[in-house]
Amino acid sequence: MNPTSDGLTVTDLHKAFGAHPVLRGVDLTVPEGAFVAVLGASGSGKTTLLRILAGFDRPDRGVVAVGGAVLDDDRHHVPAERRRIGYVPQEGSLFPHLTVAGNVGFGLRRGRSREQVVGHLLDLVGLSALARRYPHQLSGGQQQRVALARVLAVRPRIVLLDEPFAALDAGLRAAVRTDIHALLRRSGATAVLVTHDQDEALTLADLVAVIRDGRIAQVGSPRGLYEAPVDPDLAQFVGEANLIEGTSGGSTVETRFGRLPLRGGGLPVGQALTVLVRPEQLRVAPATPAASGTAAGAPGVTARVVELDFHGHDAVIRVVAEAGAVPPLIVRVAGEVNLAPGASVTLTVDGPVHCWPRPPAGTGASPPVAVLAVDSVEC
Amino acid sequence: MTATGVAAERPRHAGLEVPARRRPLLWPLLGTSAAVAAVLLTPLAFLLIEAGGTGAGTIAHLIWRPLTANLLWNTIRLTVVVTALCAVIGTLTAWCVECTDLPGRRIWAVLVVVPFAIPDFVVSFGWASISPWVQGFQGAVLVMTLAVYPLVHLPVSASLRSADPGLEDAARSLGAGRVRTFLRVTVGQARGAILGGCVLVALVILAEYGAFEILGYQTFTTEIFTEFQVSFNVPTACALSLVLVLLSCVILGGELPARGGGRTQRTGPLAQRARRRHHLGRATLPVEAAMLVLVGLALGVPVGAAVYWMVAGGSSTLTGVSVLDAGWHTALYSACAAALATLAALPVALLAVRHAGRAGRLLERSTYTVLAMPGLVIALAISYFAERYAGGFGYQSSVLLIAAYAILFFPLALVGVRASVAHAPVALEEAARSLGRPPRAVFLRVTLPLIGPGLAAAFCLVFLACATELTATLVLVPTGVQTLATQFWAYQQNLAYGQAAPFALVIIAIAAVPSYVLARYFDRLPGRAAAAP
Amino acid sequence: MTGRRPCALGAVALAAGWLLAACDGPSGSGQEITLYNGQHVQTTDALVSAFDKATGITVNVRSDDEDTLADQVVAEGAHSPADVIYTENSPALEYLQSRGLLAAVDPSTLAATPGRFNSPQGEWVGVSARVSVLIYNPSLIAVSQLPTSVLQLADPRYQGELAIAPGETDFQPIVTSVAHAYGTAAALTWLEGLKTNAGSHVYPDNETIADEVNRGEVAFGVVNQYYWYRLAAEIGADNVHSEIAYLAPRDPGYVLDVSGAGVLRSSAHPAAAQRFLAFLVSKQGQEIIARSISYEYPIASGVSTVQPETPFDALQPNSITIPELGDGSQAISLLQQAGLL
Repeated sequence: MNPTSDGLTVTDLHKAFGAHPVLRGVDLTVPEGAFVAVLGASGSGKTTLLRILAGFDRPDRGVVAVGGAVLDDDRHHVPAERRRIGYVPQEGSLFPHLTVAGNVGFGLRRGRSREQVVGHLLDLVGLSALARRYPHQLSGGQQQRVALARVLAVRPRIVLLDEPFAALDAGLRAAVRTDIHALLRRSGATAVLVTHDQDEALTLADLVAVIRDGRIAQVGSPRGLYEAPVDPDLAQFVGEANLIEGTSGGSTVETRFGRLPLRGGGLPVGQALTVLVRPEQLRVAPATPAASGTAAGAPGVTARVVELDFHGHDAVIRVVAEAGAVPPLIVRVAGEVNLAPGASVTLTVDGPVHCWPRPPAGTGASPPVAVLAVDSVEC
Repeated sequence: MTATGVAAERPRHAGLEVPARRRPLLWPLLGTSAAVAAVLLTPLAFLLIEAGGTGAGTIAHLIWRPLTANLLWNTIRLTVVVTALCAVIGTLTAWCVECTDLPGRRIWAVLVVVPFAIPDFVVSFGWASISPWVQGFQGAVLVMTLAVYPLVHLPVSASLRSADPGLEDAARSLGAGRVRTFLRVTVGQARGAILGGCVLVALVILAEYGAFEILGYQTFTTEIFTEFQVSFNVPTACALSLVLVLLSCVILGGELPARGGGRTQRTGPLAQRARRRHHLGRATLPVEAAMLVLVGLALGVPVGAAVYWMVAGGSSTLTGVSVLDAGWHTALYSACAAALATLAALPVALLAVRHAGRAGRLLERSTYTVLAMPGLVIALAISYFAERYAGGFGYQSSVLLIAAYAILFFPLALVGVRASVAHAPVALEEAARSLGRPPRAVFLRVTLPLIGPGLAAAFCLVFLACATELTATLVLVPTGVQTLATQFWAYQQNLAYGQAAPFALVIIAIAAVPSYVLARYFDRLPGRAAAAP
Repeated sequence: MTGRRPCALGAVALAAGWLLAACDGPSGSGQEITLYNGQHVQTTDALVSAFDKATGITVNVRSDDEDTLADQVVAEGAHSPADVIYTENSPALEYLQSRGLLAAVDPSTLAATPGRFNSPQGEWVGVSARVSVLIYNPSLIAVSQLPTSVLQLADPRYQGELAIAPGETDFQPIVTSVAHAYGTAAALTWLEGLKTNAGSHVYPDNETIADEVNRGEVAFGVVNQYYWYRLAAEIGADNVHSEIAYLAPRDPGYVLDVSGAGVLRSSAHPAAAQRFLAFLVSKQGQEIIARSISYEYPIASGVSTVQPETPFDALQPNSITIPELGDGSQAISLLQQAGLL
């Protein structure tokens, strides 16, 4: 845990409301200038974490430091107004009694330079024409952009965003997301975005921290998180996952689909494993009676199509294996698909897979440990 | 009475509410609110002390008279009938002004509120001098309904203004006809506001004296006054007043179950969609006519009677203070008391809205009991404590009178301030703080502008009530000083109607500006969002 | 910024309020006394301004119901700001006297009024007198049909025709007199009969009785004589549709009641207060009463009634004395028992 010189460091943060603990020891390091997404389900404590970072709540235990300067610990608490940490709440919270220009300039001292800065920022967000409007006259997306401009006006070191796109309709969301992402990049501020939408997190962020039950379950790049999640629950949280049983064969794993290469490796042979197969790793081909068992390479599994969802650019197929030992699977197929529900198909797996040791029957999964290293976990 | 909630993700734990989050601010607010509530409960303490001076036997003898049963029946039936009528009228006028495209609704919005500014005894004087039919129960019903329905209109129109228009559309799409939608959705959403207004109406009727005196309608309160005036026996009158307090507790307690468990607050962003209004079409003319009749009766008759008497009333050689003198004193005392009450209401409202917990609610409710006590009781209570514990300091000086007003009408201030505090959510203050503004600047530049208009409306509500107060004033006003109400009463008592009338007209004139502010700013959303009519 | 307005207004208002608290009410040069006035304002105003002109002493008048004022004096105790109390009827003064709150009146003041109209203990002085009469509307009831004795008021034949104001302090001496003459049991029965006869014509005060009888709403009522004369003066002779009639001479209902004034023992200005009392019974004061619109009977300094009132000497009231009228508590108790209060 080395505090980066200008980044955000959170150490062992605890917070409880009454008898209910919400944060149970959060550790997080955000390098300066990075765009971090804190991804978690409702009730996981992500908003609480954000509010503590902003300075609106005090942690029960733990240290928050920015650029080496301690903001929160057992003795100190720097109030929100002195932290230079910007906060964009979920609803934007624009001041209804001020115009757009008034809102954006709120944090600045009066003077000629204020007008210039406000003008510049409104240009940046593309809302110069609306400077004299009032918040209730703006659309949701415009309000969010004004909220961001308002925060950037005071040049914060860190910008915190609390599910800023949740209130926008889906069509708008993508465009606003891109705009705001670009703005933050250009401003060079460190950004911490809190969201429950894993799509959003994986798309926008350099670094994703998954928060679960009041702790950070895993921190990593979007790709690292997707390809090598730290446990099966997390695997299903960040995307669709097929979990199948397998047995370790050193650097490969034996499954119903045959022998598959392992990502990582060096496992004791014979160890029982749970294997992660992402939907896009499954290949599907119409079953022919002679095909099973005779195709080159790994043997396939015969299955029957139960449901087909066509998304235009790809399709998601749900299949049920003929032999009951393999659970129902989700397959994602790009391009044209000529299958109908009820059709019989053969499945094969492409590419290396990720796995975890399967615990003996009767015990629960061990609680995930907060991880600081960036890439894949050794099985 | 309504609050726009903020839809945000908060940890969902049972019992988790704002208090835990805002613990640092809780104790000062709790302390100030408790102090305010303690002051407001001193009249109750006075009643208990004085009533304790009589024997239990005397009290029992007094209460268990056939006369008492008669008076209780009079009081209760009047309260029930007038409250029901005011609920209907107030809701309908609020709906017409807020939800329809009635022509001239901005003017109606103000005119509908002005009757509150006319003292009840002026209204009954106006009616009684016109027609002998207006007396007894029927007269009391007519007069009180016309005088007090704005207390329902104001909160209900506020509630309708901030209600979610989508609910009506949803109901209609589910097959509910227009009337059913109105009753079950519109009125249902405004349920809390209607009940709140009804509570105020009921409490005001319990405490009313002057109007009933003129109409010859005997209620529990007129009996209490008779006891004070005739029997040289303050303790027994205090004992009877305790029955009034009990009645008011029943009313206050009964509102909660009647409110129901459902939530009537709106959750959603502060910036609102413009509200679509119902098109009246052919109903426009009848509705306009109905409004005209209502305002004509409530406003036109008292004003008309006063003008008539001023012109036709015989000369009397009664002297008194000039209208200007009385007007100046009335305005001064009312303004001071209104400022005091509004300021005192702020901590209680903040506690009730932002720290929604049992303590806050209890404190808030306890302050409403004061509204049921006749002004005379409050005045005597204050004199008593000033005499006993302060060596008579301030007796018959404006200080005590202003204090009496502030105590008497504190619940009205609380209603208005609470509504405005609900429109200044904590989220905005946090946003301001994160932009680097210290708490003081946040209060001045964000909180105050948002609640300012609502505070002004609360101020006006108390101002109007003080300007029309009679019985406490008679006891506490400095000797030689008259307010508009007391001078009017003195002339009216001596049948010098011609001389009484100008004072009534001046009261109504003084009330014009505060009524406008009240109609415009009571429980309105902050900022320009309020502008769209 | 709109939010500042209420704050600024509030601050200004509060400041003004404190300033005003420091200097309340009218303040003039020279001496001042405070008068608690239970008499009709018409009467008192004229007397007060004349007194001011004659002596330069300013009188701060606080007008209210005499019983309320008496209660206030008792509650105020030693800190009472009042110097003089002036009531419409004697019971209130007797009550205060019995509680030791009145100071002895200057003997010279007492001497100006016949002894039977003053407090026997010399702590208050009688200033004017009034007598109870029947006011009736000739179009609704003929003078020959009117009751001649007070007990007849309870007669069932007058059901619905009688108006009374049981809450009026003027009414209590009549009740006391009836109880004194016929006993409390008979008085209670009589009151109950009155209640039945009056029905809905139970009014809060005598002005209303006079008004209602004049308008023809009710046939007749029991008031004091001056109400009728005042009504006539105010609305003009053309609009008077009522008359007054007296009960049989010496009848218990034919009560002469005295309106008087006393100086409070707690007064801070006893000398000036005594001067005021002296003025009330002086020739000048009594002339004012005689000629004013109060229409009460002057009883001091040999000043006689002015037309159109029945001369004082021609009256034949019951012989009940002031001590016998007492402090009115018996009357109140009877009224409460009868359910009229």
